[in-house]
This record gives sequence, structure tokens and C-alpha cells, in this order.
Amino acid sequence: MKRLLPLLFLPFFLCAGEYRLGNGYELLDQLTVGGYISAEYKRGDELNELEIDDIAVLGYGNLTHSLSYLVEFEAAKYHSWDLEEDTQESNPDFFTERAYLNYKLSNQLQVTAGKFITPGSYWNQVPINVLRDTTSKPRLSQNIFPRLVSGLDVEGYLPGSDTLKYALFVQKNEDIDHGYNNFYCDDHVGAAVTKEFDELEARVWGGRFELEDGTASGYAGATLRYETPELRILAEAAQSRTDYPTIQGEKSKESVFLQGAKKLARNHSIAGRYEYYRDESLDLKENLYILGYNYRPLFPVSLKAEYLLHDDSANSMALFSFSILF
Amino acid sequence: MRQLILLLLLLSLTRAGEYAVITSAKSPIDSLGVRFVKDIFLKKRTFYRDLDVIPVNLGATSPVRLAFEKEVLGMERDYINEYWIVSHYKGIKPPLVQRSEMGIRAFVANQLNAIGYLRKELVDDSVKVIYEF
Repeated sequence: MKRLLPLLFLPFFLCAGEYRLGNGYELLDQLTVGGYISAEYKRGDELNELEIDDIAVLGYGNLTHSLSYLVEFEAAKYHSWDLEEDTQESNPDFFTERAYLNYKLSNQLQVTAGKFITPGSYWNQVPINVLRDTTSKPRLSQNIFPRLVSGLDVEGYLPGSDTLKYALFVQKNEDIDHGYNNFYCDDHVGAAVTKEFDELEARVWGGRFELEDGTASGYAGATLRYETPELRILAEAAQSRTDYPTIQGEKSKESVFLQGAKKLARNHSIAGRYEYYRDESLDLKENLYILGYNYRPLFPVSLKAEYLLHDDSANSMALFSFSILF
Repeated sequence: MRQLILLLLLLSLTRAGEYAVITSAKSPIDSLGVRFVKDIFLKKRTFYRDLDVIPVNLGATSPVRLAFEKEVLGMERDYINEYWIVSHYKGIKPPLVQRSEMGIRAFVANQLNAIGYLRKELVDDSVKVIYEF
């Protein structure tokens, strides 16, 4: 997998004037390649850390008009330097983040088989730094549901509707690649229903998953998203309930966030987010306020600076990041 | 005031229908709504009933394409570029491109499931108009 790293730069050597940053490079009719990189610097009371967080390469294409595929390999936390402790750590192995085949039968039905992003939370659909408005991620996207599914998904517009979409997914096996998911589960079922308006989208979603140690959780959430070229507002709320048979019985987690991002000029935008998170099993309650600035010299290149104010001031921090999609 | 309103109305009427969204004359598609055309060109929908459709764009500098983006997609070019960059992460590519309106007409005429656009005066018997803007 370490050999994948040079592939990241392959498109730049092969391209001959047609390449546009952020759009990938079409090597063949059936193969477009691309990737992304992000680096972060975090500074808090007892935190001084520099990290090359993500290095990823992806390839996708259409095998027929209806059949397409996508593969993505990623090395997360590729290299980090703890400047407080003067130590460093490297994780150069690439893992399979996504690998799937998609077959479209109609607007009402498309089938995806493989490892794919869990339908549901809007934040989770475009989770990479360069395409986000903030460097930090809400707790909701990390602690409530598995980010990825290794299984089968069917989705499309509901028959007779132009604006109502559904998604149903199931996983009844181990993760395709254990190295990359926030929950190691081997059983996951779920659904999402989305109503589209012109600039507004509303979604409800939920599911149930079981970890490999038998711990079972159910979750449900709702999303409201409003987007224009100048303004993006995203609000999500979710709750999960986990049954800990041997330790504590059933405990819940709740997470809510409201985020707004406003474009100030062509390359400049600001973002703010409020987050609430409660984890009953840890007796933890958190309130977080994030204010950030995002400079994009080009859309697929992002330089961000933000401050995360935690109600426990020891966890407050400043974050800076550079990310690029190619 | 009334004359000004009449003038504005006249201008808007003369502007309507300057361009046409077209498909093959043999296509089962007879007409489409603007939302459907938009969804097809943004690849949010890929079928018309059981027919898989292929949207075809003009080159990026074409004034006809600019008019299409403004009137039908309702999006500025920068925003469209952002949309396709996000789509690249999702594994979705923008529509095919033909360099000229004649190229679009020839492609659409010979491809039952293709949908393109051009100035209305270039429409001939090989294609049919399914939406005007």
C-alpha cells in the first residue's frame, strides 16, 4: 500500500494541458484519477501539534452508461509531530476508504455494492477537509454512527415524486478494510429520506449497528440544509442509544450542531458553528463554539484558520489547515 | 408607465425561445420541465422513464452555454465549477462536451438518448425541441 503514494502525483506528470485542479485527470475513458491532501496545525493549552492528516488517492469511472465504480485509498494521520513533547509518529499505510460498484436501473433505483459512505448525515457525505467550511468536525459525525458501510445500498427518487428521495442500506459482514472506520461493526442497517426544495433540503435518517464485540446501538437524526452560492447553513441533530449488556445497561449520546458559512468575496469566507454533545456513558456534556476563516485561492485549495472555544477551556484550541483536492 | 411595462413585456417575449433544448427526432421524449433538464445536466437524474439519457454541453466559452447555465441551470459559472469539484470527490464527471452547436446537433441526431442545446434557428428535422429558453 505504501507504493500508492507516487500514484498521487502521477496525474501531474501525465497531464498535457487539459488538467484542471480539483477535477481529476481522465487517464482513460473509464478511469479518472485524483486525490487529496490535508495538513493541520493545532495549538491549545497543552497542545502543540502539526499533522499531515490525510493523503488519499481515488479512481473512478463508468464501465457502461449505468455501471460505475469508485476506489479510494487513504492514509489518515500520515505523519504527526508533537511539538510539546518533541515526538513524532508515522502511519504510512494506506487503507481502503471506499470501494464500490454502482448500477443505475432508473431514477427510482440505483444499487451500490461495496464500501461506501453511510447515507444519512449530510456532513458525512462530503467529509474531507478541502470541501468543508471548517477544519474541525462536529462530534455528530464521529461518535453517533459508523461513517462507512461495507454492504449494499439501494436508493433513488420515490416513485411518482420529483423531490422525495430514499436510501436503504445493509451490512451483514465485516468491514472490507478494518483499518478505516470509526466503529468496527459487522452488522448495520439503516435508511434515509430526503425532501428537496429549491435551495433547501430536509432529511431524516436512522439505523442500527452492532460492533464485533456484540454491543448494539440504534441511532436517528435529522438534517436541514440551505445553500446558495454565498451562504450555506447546515443544522443536524442526532441521538444514539447503546446497549452495554455487561457494563452499564443502555446509555445514550446526543449531538446537535448549527453551522453557517458566508462568502465574503470570491476567495474569502467565514464560518461559525455551535455544537452540543452529551455522552451518558462518560457522564460528559460539551458546548463548543467555532469561528473560522477560509481562504480559497482556487476552490480546490483551502487555507483555514479557526478557533474552537470549548466550555472546558483546557480543550479550547486554535486550528490552521492547508488542504488540496486534485 | 404603461408604455414602459409594455416595452418590458415585449422585450421579455422576444427573448423567450431564443434557444432550444433538443433531443433526437426519434427519441420518445416530447417535452421536459426546466427542473428535469437541470437535474439531467447536473447528473442528479440519469433516466427519462426507462431511457438512460446523455447530456451534452457546449464548450466553456460558448455564449449559448452561458445562456443555458443562467436561464436553465440558474447558476453562475463559479458555482457550477464548485459543484463539479465536489462531484469529482463523489465519482461523478461533468457532461460530455461538443465544440460547436452543429456538433451538438449531429451528436444528438445520431444518439437516441442524448440531450443538448443550441440556438433555435439551427434546429432541423433531425432533432426535436423539448424545452425552450
